[in-house]
Amino acid sequence: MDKQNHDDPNVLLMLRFQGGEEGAFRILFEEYRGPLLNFIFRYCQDRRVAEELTQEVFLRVHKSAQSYRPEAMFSTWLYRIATNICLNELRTGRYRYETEFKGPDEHDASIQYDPVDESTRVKTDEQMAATEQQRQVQHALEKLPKKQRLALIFSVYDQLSYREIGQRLGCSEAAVKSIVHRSKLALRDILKKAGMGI
Amino acid sequence: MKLTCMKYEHDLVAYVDGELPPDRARRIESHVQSCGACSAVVAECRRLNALPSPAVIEPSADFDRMFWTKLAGVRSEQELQAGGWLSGIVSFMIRPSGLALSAGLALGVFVVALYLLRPPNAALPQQEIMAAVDLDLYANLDVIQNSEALENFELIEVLDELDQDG
Repeated sequence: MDKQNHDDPNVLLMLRFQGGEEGAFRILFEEYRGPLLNFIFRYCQDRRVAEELTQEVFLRVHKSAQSYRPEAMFSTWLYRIATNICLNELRTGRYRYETEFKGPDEHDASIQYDPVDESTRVKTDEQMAATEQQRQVQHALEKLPKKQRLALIFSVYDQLSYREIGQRLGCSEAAVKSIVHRSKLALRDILKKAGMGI
Repeated sequence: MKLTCMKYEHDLVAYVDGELPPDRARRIESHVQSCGACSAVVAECRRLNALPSPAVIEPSADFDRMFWTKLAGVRSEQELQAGGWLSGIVSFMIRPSGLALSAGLALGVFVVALYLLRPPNAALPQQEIMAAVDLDLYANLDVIQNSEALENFELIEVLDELDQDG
């Protein structure tokens, strides 16, 4: 285990869980269920499927405890599992989801709006334009190949380096550079075609 | 796109993402400053990187409960596979749905036990039957060896006459 992983408190939690401390797993579950759910939701755009897949990721983590080796940051390992599940589970058709983007449900109480918006419930023109832009971007993401879509989510929304993206996708930095290059230019072209200036 | 642009076009996105070695980044920077087409691509990539993040969702109210229920199911399966299978079978057998199966199995065990514990002389074992057949054949060996003669009636009559004469 290199020093970087040794310093990761979540690696230590995972090792404690490996040693039989069930409470350590619960802490990891509570810390990562939200971020993982959002990552998968951005990918598949279906809340029900995103929740099922997020639960699947944690079931895998639980099952893999005995074979866990702290060879990377805990989050890298966790997102690698999530990435594999996104790429594989949806490919098998085990989880069917709507490919048509529906946009976030504004009546969904769990969606966190801007605090100002929450108090007034009135959207300014600017906010409405931003929401429309988000909707179009999500719709454009749906049209990208799966691996390009994942690379874009990691690059644009999570602001990860190519090295980190490579660790999560399981490919080299050179491959990530190529995937990100193609995915960003493809997204740009789709948005332009849809009449959305960027 | 100019010919010189082709040398840089595959690095423009990585340049915006800050993923190039310093030397390469400097060369692209000087090219972009003098090239309208590449400068436009760089500007578009910067705007893409600044796209607003989608709305954040929270796990639904029963998300946790569903997960822990699933985990409990997986665990009981694992216990069943990892040696706890005997206790699993016992717990199934004593359930109402398992009672019919239990009764059937008990009846089967009873019948097998009856067969195995039957009296020794109730029937001759197969090996002894074969030995008896062999003994019978041995006793009538002459007859068996002349079985072709037995089928010839004229020969039997001649043999009979010779026997009486003798």
